[in-house]
Amino acid sequence: MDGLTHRPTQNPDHSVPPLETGLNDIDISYDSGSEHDDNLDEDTSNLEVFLSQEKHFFILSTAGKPIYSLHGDDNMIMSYMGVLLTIISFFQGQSHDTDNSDQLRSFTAGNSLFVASYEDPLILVAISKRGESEQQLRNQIDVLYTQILSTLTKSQISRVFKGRTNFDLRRLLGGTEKFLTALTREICKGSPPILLSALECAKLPRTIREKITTILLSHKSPSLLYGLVVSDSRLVSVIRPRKHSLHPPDLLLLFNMIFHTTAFRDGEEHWVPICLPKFNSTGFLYAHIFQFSKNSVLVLISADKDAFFELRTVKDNILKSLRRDNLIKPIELAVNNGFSFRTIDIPVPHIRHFLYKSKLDVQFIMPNIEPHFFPTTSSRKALMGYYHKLHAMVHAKNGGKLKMVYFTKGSATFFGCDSPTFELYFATGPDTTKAILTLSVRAILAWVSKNKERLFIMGGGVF
Amino acid sequence: MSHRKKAMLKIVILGDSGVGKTSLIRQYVDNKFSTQYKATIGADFFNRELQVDDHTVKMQLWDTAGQERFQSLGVAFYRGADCCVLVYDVNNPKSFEALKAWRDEFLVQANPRDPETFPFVVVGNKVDIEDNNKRVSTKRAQAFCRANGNMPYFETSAKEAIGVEAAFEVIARNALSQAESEDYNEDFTDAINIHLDSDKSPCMC
Repeated sequence: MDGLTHRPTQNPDHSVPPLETGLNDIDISYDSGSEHDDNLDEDTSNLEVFLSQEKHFFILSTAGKPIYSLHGDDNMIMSYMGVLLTIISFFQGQSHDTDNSDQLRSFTAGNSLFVASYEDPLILVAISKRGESEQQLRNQIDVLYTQILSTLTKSQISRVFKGRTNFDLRRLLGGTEKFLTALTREICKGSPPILLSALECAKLPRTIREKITTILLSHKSPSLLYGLVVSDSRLVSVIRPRKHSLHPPDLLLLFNMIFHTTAFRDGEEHWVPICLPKFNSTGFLYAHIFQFSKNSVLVLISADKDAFFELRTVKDNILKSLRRDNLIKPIELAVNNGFSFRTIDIPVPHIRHFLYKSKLDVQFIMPNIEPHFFPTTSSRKALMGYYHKLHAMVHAKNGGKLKMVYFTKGSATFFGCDSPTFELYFATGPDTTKAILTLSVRAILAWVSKNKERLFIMGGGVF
Repeated sequence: MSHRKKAMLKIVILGDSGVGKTSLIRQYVDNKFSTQYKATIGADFFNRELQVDDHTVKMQLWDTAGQERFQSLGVAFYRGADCCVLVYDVNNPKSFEALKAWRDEFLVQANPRDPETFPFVVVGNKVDIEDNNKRVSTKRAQAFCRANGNMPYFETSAKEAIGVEAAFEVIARNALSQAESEDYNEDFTDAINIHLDSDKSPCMC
């Protein structure tokens, strides 16, 4: 596995790990026109390029057959999967035991951290040189695993591998690999919803959100299970039965499929079987997905696969009412140009960006990333890298859990804290004193509290 | 990974130490032969793409270590194989006599759904060496293959590239039919029974 630690000289975007450099340094050294940092259009057959990647994700069967790899072509990854399986199996010894009691969980080689997850009959491996914690990488591969479940269901995967461990799962995944790729792309950018395992809501006046929710409720039909209005990956409104909640990890998958691929945003109606694994990993629900304006989508979910025409009528009625009450424009405005709200809306000087997660609501908010502070893809990625670092520090399991932490790197100070009700991470000016940091925290909390009903969906519509 | 997927076949190569497993694969994959013997440590992996009728298949060749001290990794190597190649040295009767044990070992560890029909291919290697005294006769080898589920039998020389392509073509063909016999066709029919009025407590996550 020595090859993985190899750091090539080409590929300048990756030559400086984001966690070791100040934001401004990165701005300068990276501002050479290369916004293209993900290497997703790489030459897939070039071994040097393959080995130089900062992050890898591998999904394989317990027979060592490839199911998914972020980078590389088949010829390159086939041997790799064999080697990974060999390493993992070595620690399983001779036992047929497939529970997680005696599994290799992680190891480091050079500056690469390897994290393996065993979800019989699948093995998922994340490899990263970016300094994320084991738990963060484990969370990332869990998201990929739930994506596979959402395509196939857990019961179907068990069935196909039962008695045929040689099964090639890629035959069943078919074209859904693009959803995995969209997810890994988001993960590589440092996705806040995946880091925080939380949803983002569109910031809307309470009255507008209430009007939308009331419209959704008024048109609900017998087989409707969930109804959602989502705009640019942000939840606008949701209705659900009293007995069934929606699980953020499931919605994360749904939002990823809708907003990070082009599959569903063509103005057509889509009717797709989808498993929402945290809701029920053994079976399919059916989703009617329709994009009704530039950034906004209506999702109607039913357990009945014959409910298409019923939900189509629901969709028509909801849209009629939304248009009648002039509600589409405010929804679009709330997310226009990737805009949620700005740091200058908040009475906290020097704050450049922040993440606030309300634990009870499992929702987070963040202001627009200001090009003034974060002009390049690399500087935005670096910011997310620091958030990962802060998050890892306040969530470390051993060595005394820190509740509050801050450090200065380059031209910015980074702060993070984890309380029973919220998590807060922010970037502010350099060498900010403790007193100022404390004031900033208080000011953000006060602003969030004051705007709570605009920022979060409190319960949604229940029927 | 975005192009259309080809059938992926896992081929496991077994046999005593020194019979030429690695040499066979190298000859097949790279058209190379080395007279230097280097024991395989644990396992090694090779790929080759091949056209079988109208299918393009990708063979993932699992080259295992013949030496006993590396055999603790058994299950993982054998699990989910589409074909098992048993290799012996035609000039080494002991390596021929070990084939039965290798076959049994494979069936125990890999635990295929139907052991009777699981495809094995037997390869007698090093036919370029002239040593009539020690040699395992073709007749004897064929009789063994017939008695053990009619395994196809090939004589090869990895050194002189004799019979290697032919052997692997049959290996690929049989592996492909094994993979396809296990093909899976089922609709997405798992429906969830939703009881909107059930007592299932709402989850707060």
